[in-house]
Amino acid sequence: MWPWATQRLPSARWCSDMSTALRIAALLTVLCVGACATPPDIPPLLDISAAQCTQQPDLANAIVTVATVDGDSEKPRTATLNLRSGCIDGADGRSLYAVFAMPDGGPFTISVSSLPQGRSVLAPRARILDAQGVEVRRLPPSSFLFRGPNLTALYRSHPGEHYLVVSSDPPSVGKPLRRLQENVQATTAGAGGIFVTIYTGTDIASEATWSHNGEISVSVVSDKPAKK
Amino acid sequence: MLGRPRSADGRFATTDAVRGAMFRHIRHASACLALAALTACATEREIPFDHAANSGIKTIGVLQPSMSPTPTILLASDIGQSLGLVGLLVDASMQANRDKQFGELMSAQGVKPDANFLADVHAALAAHGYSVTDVPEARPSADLLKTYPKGGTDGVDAYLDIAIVNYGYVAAGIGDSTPYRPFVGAHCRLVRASDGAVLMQDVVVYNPVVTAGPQPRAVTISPDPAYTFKDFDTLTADPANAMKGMNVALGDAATSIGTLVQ
Repeated sequence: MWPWATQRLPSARWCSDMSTALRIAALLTVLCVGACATPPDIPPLLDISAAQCTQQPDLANAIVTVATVDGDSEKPRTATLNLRSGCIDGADGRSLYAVFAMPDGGPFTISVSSLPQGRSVLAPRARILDAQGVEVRRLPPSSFLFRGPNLTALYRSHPGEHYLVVSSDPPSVGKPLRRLQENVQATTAGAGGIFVTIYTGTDIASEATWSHNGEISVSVVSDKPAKK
Repeated sequence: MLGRPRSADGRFATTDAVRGAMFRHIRHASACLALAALTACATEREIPFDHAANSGIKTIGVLQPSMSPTPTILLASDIGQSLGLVGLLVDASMQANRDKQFGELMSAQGVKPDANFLADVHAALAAHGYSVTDVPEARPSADLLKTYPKGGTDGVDAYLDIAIVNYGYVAAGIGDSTPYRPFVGAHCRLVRASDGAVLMQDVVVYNPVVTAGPQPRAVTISPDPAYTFKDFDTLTADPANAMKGMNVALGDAATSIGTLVQ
């Protein structure tokens, strides 16, 4: 619960509320001073006419995913799409792709993300195949939404869905992407035993291009409740 | 110079009032820093809607969303936050003044953000083929409900519960380089009417203010650059555009909630 949602609090609860607020402020300060990993800046790959394409994805080299239970650390599997990746020649053009094999069992909640790489962001699309490689369904393109910095689709698995094929979306490649991001940083400075935390803000516009290349991350979490 | 706080009738504030003001300051400071960060621990994990497995959901009853009728005008970082209680008191006072001034402008413009948002939710659900009906429901708190009507309302297949945690305008800091932009934070949940099963659950944030550290998995919407106001005076100098920007943010949040139940 966000603490500022409550407009007024009874004074009798002041001590515990105060304590909670202080803990939250302290936690956030720790978060703020934490290191922030900078993603690599890779130029967008817009032309894959030189790639050797096939009509169907190669399932033999599927990346095997690992299911975790809710509450445990997820074990994402990643793939990098570039000119060395597989290529499919589809009805709307060529696209680079990676195949992920789902674990047995289920049902699972599966998270598929396109991770921005500076100036390039893989324009993703995803389809699901059965064990024979026959397409069972496609994820709607609109199901990819930004969640934090990553473009992510979440979906729940159905029986018989064995492979997830994530590929670039040719009609989207080359289009610009502009996002605004507001940030707050906290810097703690000390002198003579007195420490002060100074908060500063930034407002940054980032420019990128939807591309064939990029990084894909897939996490699989079991929908079954964790054992207690 | 800032003196001891006085109440509205000019007397010195009571200890409780001072404590209340101090808590509001700390809450405000936390709020500013936490616009996005707290989404990570705000709810249980995201649950994506499985449309194929729930094709019988045709009519959605939208529970009256939890939403303050007045927006908040946040300054996410400033000097006051670093100056202890005195700074926090000044900060809270300025915050209250901004909220009041913007609220008055909103009233003068005849804008009702809660009604606009509800209409946007209707439109977003209808765009995905659902029939929509409103379901009045008393809310014991500002967050999502803990329990839902058992057995369902006539003709309603699922309830959509939405809590707008906060909305309005936010600037990441002072200065022209950190303008005010609209923001919205919303929790949402779709619950099957017949048995209360949670079919979808997520958090949507329009224009999150991000802190370093782990990033939340909430759906994040980049703000529309058309609604940029370099400072509070600029924001209030163009009330029609300011209200439009706020309504655009609420509309985009509603559209994303619709996408989550497609």
